[in-house]
Amino acid sequence: MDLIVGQIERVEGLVDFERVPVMTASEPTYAMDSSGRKWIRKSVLHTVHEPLLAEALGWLLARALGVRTPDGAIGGEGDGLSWLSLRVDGVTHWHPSSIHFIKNAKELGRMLVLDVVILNEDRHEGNILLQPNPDQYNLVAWAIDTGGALIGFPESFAQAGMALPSIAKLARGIPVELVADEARATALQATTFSPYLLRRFVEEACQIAGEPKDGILLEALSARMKGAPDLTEKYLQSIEQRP
Amino acid sequence: MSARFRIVHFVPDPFAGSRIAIAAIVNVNGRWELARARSLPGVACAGGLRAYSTMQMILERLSATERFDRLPFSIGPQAVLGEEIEVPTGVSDPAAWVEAMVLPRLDDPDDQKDTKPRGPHRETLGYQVLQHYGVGEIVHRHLKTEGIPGVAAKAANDISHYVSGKSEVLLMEPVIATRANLSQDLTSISETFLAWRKLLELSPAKRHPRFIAYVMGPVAGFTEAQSVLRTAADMIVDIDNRSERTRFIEEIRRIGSTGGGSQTSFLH
Repeated sequence: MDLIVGQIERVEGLVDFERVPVMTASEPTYAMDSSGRKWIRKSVLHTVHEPLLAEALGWLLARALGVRTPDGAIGGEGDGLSWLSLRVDGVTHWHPSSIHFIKNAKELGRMLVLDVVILNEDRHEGNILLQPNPDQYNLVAWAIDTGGALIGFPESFAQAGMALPSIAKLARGIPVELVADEARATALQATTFSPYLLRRFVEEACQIAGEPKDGILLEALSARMKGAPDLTEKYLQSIEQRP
Repeated sequence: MSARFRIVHFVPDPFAGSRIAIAAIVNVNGRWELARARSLPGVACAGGLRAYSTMQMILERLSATERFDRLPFSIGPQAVLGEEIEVPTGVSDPAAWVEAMVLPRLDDPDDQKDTKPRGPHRETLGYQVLQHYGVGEIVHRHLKTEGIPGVAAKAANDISHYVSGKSEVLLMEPVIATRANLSQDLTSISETFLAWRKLLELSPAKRHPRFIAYVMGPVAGFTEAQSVLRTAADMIVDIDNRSERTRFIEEIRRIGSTGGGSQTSFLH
């Protein structure tokens, strides 16, 4: 596990609390570690390994692309192996009526690029959290949960080529006029990631999820990173044209 | 009559497990109504300003409730529904009964003094939103009646925001439909617009004035704004609607680009 420089923290000594009261197949629970950090825990018992790969690789790329996403970590082992996302305190889900008060709205452009690159079609209202900072007129938007992205399935991801994610489930009301410039800049940034960095991300995520097909994944991801500006432009258009 | 209810609990911290009853969904013969707690915790009791604000957002979104068995998805993980409970037979207004008998209430309104944060001013919020959409530089704030020939100072409330062009001036008021005192806000805006209209009739402006209210928040608030401001405003813009918002922002840019200055004297 320590052969590569790991970016994703391993957390020991987790204690489970209640289930998070949201409807999702991953059955997340609240969990706390010995230092008192509060996490949302998704066990592979419920998610199997592909979403774990998508979470880990999605999180590494999110951080590198500057997407505002909570700290991520790995906890447990065997059936208890889990993806951990640091709990964001005091949140609601996305709602279009809140967009005027989101102070980091432009950053949602970064999130869209991430979703384009990892082929994430699961950016519904529940996967954008709105946090008062400090009140409801000053909100911070957080992007969470890349577990549903196709990047967790290396062969399917490679077969998808340069396909765009469907926007059928995408949260409504994302203000394209506010996020487009940031999205384009982030897409350009994606083209500059070195092969070494991408390989490191892919290897680490595959190692965590026990996925052997890291070569296929790296090749497909590299192509999408290079093609991010074109893909992003088309993705923005599709969002803008949505009725 | 058959009526049941489920309490909506705000969960400030799921790790501590505490729950605060903030409302109830009441099912009366298959139709639901919302009962709201008359007493809500203040900032400290809710767990701080962030938790208090989250609770307020949840309360706003409860108005979109459409089902008895689950909360609107946008409410997120910090509110949960309690068990289903029957309203006693013989109760004629189940929602009012739940509000009065079940949900928290304080008999003495003084007990809740100073527990609510004041929150930002309507004008400030509106200006933040205009900045958000990149027209903060074009929009000026606080248009005063001083400078209108023959008009006494403070003859009417300030206009919150204005954009002056070569031949037109946009006189604008934000409406925050989620504010508890929405009705008062709308009445005040109506009075302000009507007063300015009268003043500008008495002392005609060089530039054609247009009175615009721009509304953000639930549809019900927009509908109320349309009703209250129908005679006072020339235009009521729903800026939650993307196409209306785009047209509104473009109009501000268009008028602003023709130039007109930021002094009250531009009117005359």
